[in-house]
Amino acid sequence: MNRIRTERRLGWLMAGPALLLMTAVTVVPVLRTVALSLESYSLSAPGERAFAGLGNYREILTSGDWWRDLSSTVILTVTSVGIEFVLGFALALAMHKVLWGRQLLRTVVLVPYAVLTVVSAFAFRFAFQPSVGFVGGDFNWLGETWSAYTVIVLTEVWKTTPFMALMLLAGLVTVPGEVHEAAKVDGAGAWQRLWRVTIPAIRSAIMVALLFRTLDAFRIFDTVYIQTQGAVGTETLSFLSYRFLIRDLEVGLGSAVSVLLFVCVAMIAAGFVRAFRGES
Amino acid sequence: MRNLLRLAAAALTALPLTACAAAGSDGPVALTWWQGPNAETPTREAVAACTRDGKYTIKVETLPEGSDKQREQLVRRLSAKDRAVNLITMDVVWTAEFAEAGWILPLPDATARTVTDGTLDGALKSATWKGELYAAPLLSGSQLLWYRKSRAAQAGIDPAKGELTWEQLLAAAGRLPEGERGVATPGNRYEGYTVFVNALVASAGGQVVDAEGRPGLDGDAGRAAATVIGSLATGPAALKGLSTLDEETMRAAFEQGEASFMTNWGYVYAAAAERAAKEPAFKKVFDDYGWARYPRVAADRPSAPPLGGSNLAIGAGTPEDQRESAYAAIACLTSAQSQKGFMMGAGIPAARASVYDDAEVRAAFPFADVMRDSIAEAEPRPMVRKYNALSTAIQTAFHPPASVTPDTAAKAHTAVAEAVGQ
Repeated sequence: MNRIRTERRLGWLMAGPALLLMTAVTVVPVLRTVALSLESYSLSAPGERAFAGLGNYREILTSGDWWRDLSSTVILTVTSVGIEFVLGFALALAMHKVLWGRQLLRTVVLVPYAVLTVVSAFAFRFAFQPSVGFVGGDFNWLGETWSAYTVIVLTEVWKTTPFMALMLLAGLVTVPGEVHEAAKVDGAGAWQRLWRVTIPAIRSAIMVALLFRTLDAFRIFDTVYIQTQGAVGTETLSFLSYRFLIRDLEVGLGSAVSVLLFVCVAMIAAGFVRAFRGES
Repeated sequence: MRNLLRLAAAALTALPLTACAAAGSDGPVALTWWQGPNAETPTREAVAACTRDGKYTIKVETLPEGSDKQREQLVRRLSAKDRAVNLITMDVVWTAEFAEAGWILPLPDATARTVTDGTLDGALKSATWKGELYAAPLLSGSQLLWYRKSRAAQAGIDPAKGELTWEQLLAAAGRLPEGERGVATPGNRYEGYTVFVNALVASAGGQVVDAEGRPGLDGDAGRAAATVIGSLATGPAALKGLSTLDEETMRAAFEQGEASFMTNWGYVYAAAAERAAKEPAFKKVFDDYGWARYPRVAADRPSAPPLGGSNLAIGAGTPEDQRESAYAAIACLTSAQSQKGFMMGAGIPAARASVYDDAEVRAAFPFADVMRDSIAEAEPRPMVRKYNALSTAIQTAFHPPASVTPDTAAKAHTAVAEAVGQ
């Protein structure tokens, strides 16, 4: 009993510094953002600062901007994560199965992930520029809603499919070869083995990969900032909070958007965790 | 262990001490000048000329390209009362916001007199807020209509008279062969697009917001402006990339020949002259450059060209004992001599009238007279504290250009009212 208590104390002592640091750099700013979101406060009018209660939230939730940006964020998240999952799964299977040149394949697949998001966003913007970009043609890709979405999703997919593939590959290598052998002996075809053996076995890896990417994709900012500046209906929720906070200096409104974004992300995470628990 | 702690304590106490020592030391006052990246050489020369007597030193901090990004960086420092933001090169539209927030200091009378003397009216207006001068105009400029002389003749118009309307211009451009009929105007969703909309509204005799900050887009002037944008964007003169055009891409389209007309600032001439000197093949294009007063919206009303430029202000975080030097520095940096340096070196028109009479300047800027008159009659952008929110509202309502119909004006009116809180 005594020993358990000593060990527990030691545990707290060792985790303590990290815990303090995490509190200082995450919990404190989050609480401060919540406090600011309840104020009517603009940096360019410091004299007019006042408590606003839930006024900022009311203003945001009744404005068209929030709902428009929420729908564009959801569209971008669902399409890019969906495509990434299919491609990433195919790549993971290839990386897992291929015998010759395995190292080379894994390295090549990972290259886009090593490129900075800002750099890849610029690269795709230049590629799709009318008349000078290598995609060519006269069409102004970033000037129309649907085509701008296409370019943004393409950039995201190109950049983060490797991450998806890597996460899934980590799942695939944990499936013992004997299970496949046994299924084969029992007469299961390749398709059946994929659906009945592989996918159920790596369900947790799939969940983790989808969760990480969805949370990431939902907060998309850099690609949109570089490619369209939020024009033609591509403004996302992160961009809205940037617009209020950094551009318009509306600290209260911007903080409220950040808090709402935080709530959305927490809800997505909770949804995934619940789905995961329910299945396993 | 104890030694280590003592060392850490010593380091912690010593740090602020050394910082104090640096600030309080004798010798010249150290000023920092924050400005954009476009005029490095003239900036260096102006700083050298003004610091020659050794009373103060000026360190130049270069901000990123583009007024939006420069403002983003500056306001964060200013709202934190940064002591090292002393001299600021300000876009003409920041005055109201910066003055109202108390981020910049009003100029004392003596400095104001030096600054005002001989400076063009439009430029001074852009540096004044609620009757007080908050900045010293350094550079000015208005947009002109740039055109290829041969193509204008081919299309059967003579823009040089300065009475051309947008309607005539678009019709004439449409008569040119495919691939040459572009009329380049701002079209990207950025501040420059607000400048365009504002100039059209003002040219039609209206105001985006009036002196009391009330929006005024929902009227004949707003509808006339929207009609111009709509007919440009859906007609033959629309460039393929219109909805992403900014100053630099307009210039590229005009130099390349896809556009035969463009509305742009004076720097495009210096840029073309430089290119012509390097590329003999471009010389012929450069010799074909024509310039004229900004096009009219209504045939019977002179146009109100967009006014640009930059003013020098003093950050409110500047410590008391450095302010005298800062006032002296902006008076010196905005002298006629210094402005001539910027005009010759960076191609940006001066804010002082006398510079336009200089023989060297007239040789390098054959359009000096048109430019000076254009600045005199230019319409400043709306002076409101929430200029940025207003600008975003206008961009959102009027973008993309091809979606603009006369009804866009009423929609923009509502959005502007919401943005400026009226």
